Amino acid sequence: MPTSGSRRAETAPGTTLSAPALRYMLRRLAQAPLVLLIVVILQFFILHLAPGDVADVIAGEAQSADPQFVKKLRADLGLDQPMVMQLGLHIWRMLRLDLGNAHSLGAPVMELIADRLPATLLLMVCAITLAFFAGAALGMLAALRAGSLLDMVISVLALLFYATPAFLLGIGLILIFTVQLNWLPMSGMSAVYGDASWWTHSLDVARHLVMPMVALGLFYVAIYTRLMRSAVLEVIHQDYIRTARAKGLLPLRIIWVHTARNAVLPMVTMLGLQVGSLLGGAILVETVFGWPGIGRLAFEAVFRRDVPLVMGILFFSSLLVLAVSLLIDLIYTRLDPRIVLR
Amino acid sequence: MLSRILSTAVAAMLAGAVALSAHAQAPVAGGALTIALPTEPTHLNSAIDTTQQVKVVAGKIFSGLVKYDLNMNMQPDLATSWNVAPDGRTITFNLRRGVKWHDGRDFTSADVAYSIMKGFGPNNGLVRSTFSNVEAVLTPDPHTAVLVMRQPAAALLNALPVATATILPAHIYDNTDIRTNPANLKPIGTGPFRFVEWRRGSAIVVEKNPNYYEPGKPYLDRIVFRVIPDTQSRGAAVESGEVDIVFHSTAAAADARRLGRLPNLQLTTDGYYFDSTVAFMEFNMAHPILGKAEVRRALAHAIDRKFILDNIWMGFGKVATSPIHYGLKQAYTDDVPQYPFDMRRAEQLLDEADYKRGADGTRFKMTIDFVPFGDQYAKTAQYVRQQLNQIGVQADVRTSDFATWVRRIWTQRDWMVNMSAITNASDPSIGVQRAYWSKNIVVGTPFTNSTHFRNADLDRYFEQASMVNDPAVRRRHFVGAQRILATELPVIPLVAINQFTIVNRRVHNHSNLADGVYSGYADVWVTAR
Repeated sequence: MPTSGSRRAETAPGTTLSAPALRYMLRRLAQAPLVLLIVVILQFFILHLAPGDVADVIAGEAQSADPQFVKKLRADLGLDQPMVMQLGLHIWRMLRLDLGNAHSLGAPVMELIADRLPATLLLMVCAITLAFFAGAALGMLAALRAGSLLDMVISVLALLFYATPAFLLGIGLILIFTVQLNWLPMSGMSAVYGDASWWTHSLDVARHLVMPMVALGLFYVAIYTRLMRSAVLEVIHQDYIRTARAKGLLPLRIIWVHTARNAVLPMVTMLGLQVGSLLGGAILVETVFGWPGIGRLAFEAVFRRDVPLVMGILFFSSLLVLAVSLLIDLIYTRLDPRIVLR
Repeated sequence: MLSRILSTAVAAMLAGAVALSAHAQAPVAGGALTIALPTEPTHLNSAIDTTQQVKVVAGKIFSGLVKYDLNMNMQPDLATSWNVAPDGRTITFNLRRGVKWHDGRDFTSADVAYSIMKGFGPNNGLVRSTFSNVEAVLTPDPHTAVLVMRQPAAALLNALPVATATILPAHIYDNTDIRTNPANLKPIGTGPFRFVEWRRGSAIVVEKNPNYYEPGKPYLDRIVFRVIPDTQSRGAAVESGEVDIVFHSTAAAADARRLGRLPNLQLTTDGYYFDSTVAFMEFNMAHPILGKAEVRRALAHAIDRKFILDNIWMGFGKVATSPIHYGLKQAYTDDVPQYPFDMRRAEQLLDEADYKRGADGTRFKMTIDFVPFGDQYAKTAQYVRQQLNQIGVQADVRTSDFATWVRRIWTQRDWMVNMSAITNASDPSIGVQRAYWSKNIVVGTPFTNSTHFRNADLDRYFEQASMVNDPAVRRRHFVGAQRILATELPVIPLVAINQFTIVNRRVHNHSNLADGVYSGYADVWVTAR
């Protein structure tokens, strides 16, 4: 096993990638389109397993009683074409970066996603940042005081956060902070309409963000707390920590440089794995808080059988997951130079 | 006892005082109103859509020819007066002068002609069959529109509220595809409010139309429609004052009474005349056992409708004995065969129909579907399943989402029993006939005759009722139709639903018209918080 002494051997952190690492990245990038294509084809067929199409939904909602209308709708939307043709057309369009029109909303898919993606990204980034740092801090505290009352309190809290469904937590937060205390707005992303300064607007969004962020983030706070606790416990019993102690290094330096840096690796792995599930959690949280994000759009699109819209959203979320996993690989090499990308 | 009398008296006095002060208060101009939307609309053209979320917004932006008070008396809107020829074959509307579209153009009879012949007439699923009787709309001058009828359509004058018979601007829509016209997303109307912005996923904002044709109105500066998709969140939003109105029963029914008793809120069931809806349990006539009327009558005795009303609809409605809502007084009768709750009678009738219990106690099996709206239909299905299991009918409940459900009921037709409802609209010729008329059996088209029930006498009653104008004659036909439906029982009516609105008390005049929250809200005003 390499020791921490080999740190500076492979690459110089903070500088450019080594040649094999660059090749690795390029290979990953080249594989991405293939992965996306497989994902797109799978999605298409899974979506068509469910009975009913968007024409059923539109005609049903309109309580329309006209067979000509339903037939025309299917023809207009290309739903009367064979499935393979529909898939072919879809892939052909995607190659030209055209995601088509959302059947149920009558607007370009790209435009709808562009409208909603920033809200979800903001929510996800804030929630995961909260989770990462709060989890790391709590886990570290619990591990350094393992077996104490503090450790127990943190562990119980983590269990509680882990076991509470996000929508329940959301409703609970609303009842306390909106209905009872009236401190925070409960729904939407902003309440400021018309012209307002950049500052007023940001503050308004921030106020709206607090509860959804906490509702989405607490589950991950729990995960990171437990992960960090066990990682730190493992690391502090390693030889090199004892060596560091024996060298007489400051306790804070031991914790920060020697313990945290090594303990944080599994957390980064988890971060990469969880982008997908975070997106899933966002659907519930966005619904409870009326947050105008992409999760809710996906949820509605599935129920409306709006295939182009669902495919478009899944395309972007697949892209997001691919991008994040690539990013995580990069972060690894920075955090732990022992890891070599080939 | 005394304290109860006293407290009742005090409450009555307080209520009186509140009522008096409400009447004494003069409307105040200004302020904003917030309405919670359960679902985001797909567009804002109510001429081609009958969903609540489209109607509630479009109703503020557009106008109709007439308005209706709570007793369904017609009142002037874009039309100032109207006249029906004695033979019912021409209807003349005299139009208001000086009305402008939000883009500054003049409103004329050409807009009315376009709307009826090419706008809502052929495109609004609910009233299309009614308006298909209009052969032409004559426009002798810009302020007169004359409807020439192929045959009299008695329901037509009940079908003109803004959110159904939306008058669209011909200069924007004529010679375009009404479904994809960009104005559907940025509507231009003649109504009290004009469109400002649509923040996808969050809110739609409309503001006071300064050129509205009623001087001094509307009172409100702005209405914000906020999308709040979660039921519990909508309740919390109206409780905290973040929104002023939650409409069409979209807060949890179990919570609605408590909300209505809060000092800042009130609960009303007024303003849903056009949404009169009866929940029912329907049967697929093609099923070898359920296709028999004697079996359906037996099953009817096994269902305690009062239980369903009180525990599933939380008392919002009345026990139904007819597929016509009791609110449609011009047609409704309860003088029909009744099926009182009596489990023993149910078993006896099934024995007589020769569906006796087998060795395992089972008579036959069935699957129950339900429309996935709210949770009431799912709960009703569960309740009915329990009841039927007790009389030896082994029932299973099947869950589907809306698209699957529509497919199953109208296209694949692989269903037996279904818990559902359809709106009666404002007239049985519009909302009831379609579900039972044999000429409206159309496989693959939603909300047509789903049971495939055929009865020549019933067809005749409905057809005649739709063509005569004399209210007494119409009523006679509707009573005849209801007797057949209650005897043959293609559907077992369960609950005549009353929709509810939860409103902040600072809002005034919100439910004064028959179409309540879907109306223009020119008269609505708010007191400052």
